[in-house]
Amino acid sequence: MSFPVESLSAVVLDRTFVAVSSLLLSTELPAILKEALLPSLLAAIVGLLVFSLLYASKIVAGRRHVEELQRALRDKEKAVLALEASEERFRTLCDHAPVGIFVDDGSGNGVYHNSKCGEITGLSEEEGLGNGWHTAIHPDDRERVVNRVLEAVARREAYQDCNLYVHPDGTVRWVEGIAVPVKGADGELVAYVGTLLDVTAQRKAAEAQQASESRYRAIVNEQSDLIVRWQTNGTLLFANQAWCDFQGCSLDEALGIDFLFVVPDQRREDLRQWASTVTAEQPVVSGESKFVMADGRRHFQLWTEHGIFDDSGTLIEIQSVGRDITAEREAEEQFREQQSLLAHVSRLSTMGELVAGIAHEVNQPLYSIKNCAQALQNVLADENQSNRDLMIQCADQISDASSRAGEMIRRMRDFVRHGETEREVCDLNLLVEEAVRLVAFEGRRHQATVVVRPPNECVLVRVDRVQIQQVLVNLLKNAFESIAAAECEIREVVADCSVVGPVGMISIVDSGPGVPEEFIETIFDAFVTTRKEGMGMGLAISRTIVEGHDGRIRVEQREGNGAAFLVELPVHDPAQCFASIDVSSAADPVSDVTVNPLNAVIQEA
Amino acid sequence: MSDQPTVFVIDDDGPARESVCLLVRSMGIRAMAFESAEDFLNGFDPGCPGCVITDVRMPGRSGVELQEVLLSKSIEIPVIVLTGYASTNLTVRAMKNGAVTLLDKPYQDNDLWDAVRCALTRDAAHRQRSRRVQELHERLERLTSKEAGVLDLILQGRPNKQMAAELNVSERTVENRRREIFRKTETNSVAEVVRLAIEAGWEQAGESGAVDDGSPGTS
Repeated sequence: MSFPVESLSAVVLDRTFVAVSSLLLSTELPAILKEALLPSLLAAIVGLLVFSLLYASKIVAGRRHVEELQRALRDKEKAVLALEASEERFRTLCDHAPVGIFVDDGSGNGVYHNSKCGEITGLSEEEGLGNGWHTAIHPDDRERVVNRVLEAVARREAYQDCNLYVHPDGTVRWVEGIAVPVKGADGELVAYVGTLLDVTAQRKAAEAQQASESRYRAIVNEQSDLIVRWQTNGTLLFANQAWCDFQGCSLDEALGIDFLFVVPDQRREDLRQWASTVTAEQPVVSGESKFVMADGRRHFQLWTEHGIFDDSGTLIEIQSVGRDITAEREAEEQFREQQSLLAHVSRLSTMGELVAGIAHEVNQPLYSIKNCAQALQNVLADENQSNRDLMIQCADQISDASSRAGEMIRRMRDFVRHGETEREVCDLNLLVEEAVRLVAFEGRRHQATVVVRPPNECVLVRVDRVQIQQVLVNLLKNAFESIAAAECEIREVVADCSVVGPVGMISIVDSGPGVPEEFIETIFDAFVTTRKEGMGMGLAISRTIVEGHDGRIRVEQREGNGAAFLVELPVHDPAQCFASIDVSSAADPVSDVTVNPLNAVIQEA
Repeated sequence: MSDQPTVFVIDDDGPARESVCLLVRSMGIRAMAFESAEDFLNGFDPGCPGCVITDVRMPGRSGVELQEVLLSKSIEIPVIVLTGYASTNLTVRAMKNGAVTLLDKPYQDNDLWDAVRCALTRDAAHRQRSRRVQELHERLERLTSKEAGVLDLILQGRPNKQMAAELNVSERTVENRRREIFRKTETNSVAEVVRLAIEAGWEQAGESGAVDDGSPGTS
């Protein structure tokens, strides 16, 4: 197929003209597009003309060229058609875009906006033109937004803003707008093209989230518990107000603190150790720490540490929740002090009752000493007599007797001691023996014998020695008095210590008439007594003491064998109990045992 | 048992007991220790001279109860009672039981020594007296019941004639019996035999004789 050059040029011009004019005449094309496209179209047309003419002059070069040209022309025709289609697509795109799209004239006056824009702003297409869009902006926000746009326009800059739009029906929308300047071929600003996005939903969600978060934050912050979250290296990630107040710093300051640096030494060590052994399966540990603050105030805190692990099972963070239990502990301490004071008063009163016996126990060795001294004088005064053996015996007796008196005085002083409520590990057998010695005279007075069963094993307990002795003295005295009151034939009290599982048990069994049925339940209550002269405080205080040692005291009626008072105390550490001790010394428990309890008391390391 | 007096020390408190023994020995007197009144009663020979030093308060029998046991057995060994603290009650009871003395522990320097000496003297005198009484008893026991009946009447101061009438025998028989009485009791006069009878604690010993005679000694 071939064409004459003339007709070819004519066809090209004709087609071009038609295309351009149809394009330019298209009323539907927005002015901005016309403005933007016109120069390039014109340039294309001119170029095409020049190209055609050059081509025409060369047509003689060969028909093949003509054919190529024809093909090229067909391509151009397609391109123009494609351009039309593209414009159509663009329009469709704009109309169906999920965001609002707008174009202004480069000075803030709207020239185009798509239907989505209308939805977002609540303005019709016409209302949005020019500066009509101002009216859609919330009155409170309007001035700021308009100024912002005009400033950006004046500086030929892109702008972005989030603002409020009010619909005619009064609903308020949060809208985010972005606009960028569009420049012509000459580099001059010709328009702003921008988008509007309705962010009301996101905004509301974010607000709800924020509200929820601040609610939680408030809850956490207003907790009286101390809440801290920290990394394994000590970096503090979060601390609540209570912790900051306790530490005396603001949250901002707290976030810079090395958590491990501010905790008490002991707890730091515990935490380190715990952090090295904690597992994802057992991530929680609780413990109490006691420490003194810089201001000298003592604190007791109960902490729960919760390890947070990453997916690979590595400990990354620790959440520590602590409660200051200083007040509780101090109240407990105060209670213990009062209790110990009460116990002391009761001991003094018991000592008052025992004093005659104690005096006798001290008097007795003094009496021995005096006898021996006089015997020595007698021997020495008689020049004819030089009984060395007798003198040696006298000296031995004096020495023994003075030790004995000293022991008794120490025992008495220990018994009325007050203030030290330190607990130490000791053998219950020894406590029983000491108590038996304190009341030995009472026993004689009531013509009752005390049998201390030879100890089979060492019964180690961690107790306040004096207080437990007080309990035993009370029980022994009660036993004597009950035997004496009933004028029993057999006047015997059997004291025994044993280990029953985790419990060290002392039993004091008397041969008296036992506790009357109606008193079994109440005998340990205050002011309950079976004796006329009794105050009913002894057993009540005994129970307080034993329970203060996490133990138990109870009474059982023994068939034909009086009452059995049982004191149970938790064994200190069964592993430390020796299987056997020297039992030979216990053969005659009351009179001949020579024990120095101080040697046997194992001080806690 | 030797004639050397022994001090029997009874105290349940070992060292105290030992010290008393040492003190007694330092006085050059033998001492024997007992842990309880029961031990003493079991191990003691009443024929042995000496005295007892006992504590009051002891398991088993107390010192005062021991005194009472000794009295009930007519064992008249002098007892020194020691006490840690004496009550009036106890003191009265101990003294009524014939205690030599009651000493508070610890006592004054020479109190025990004095008490022991006093007790041993009393024991020696008592033993001497009881030896004499024993001897007089032996003499009186030589009398027949009929002679004893006459002695009763002598003690009542009856003349021979009245005795004869009362006993329903001849005056001569009465005289013979009186002679026998003097001979057997180794006395020479009525006054002597009366003193002997009183000393020996003769009381109506002739009752049996009176029965023999078919008439009551008391009328």
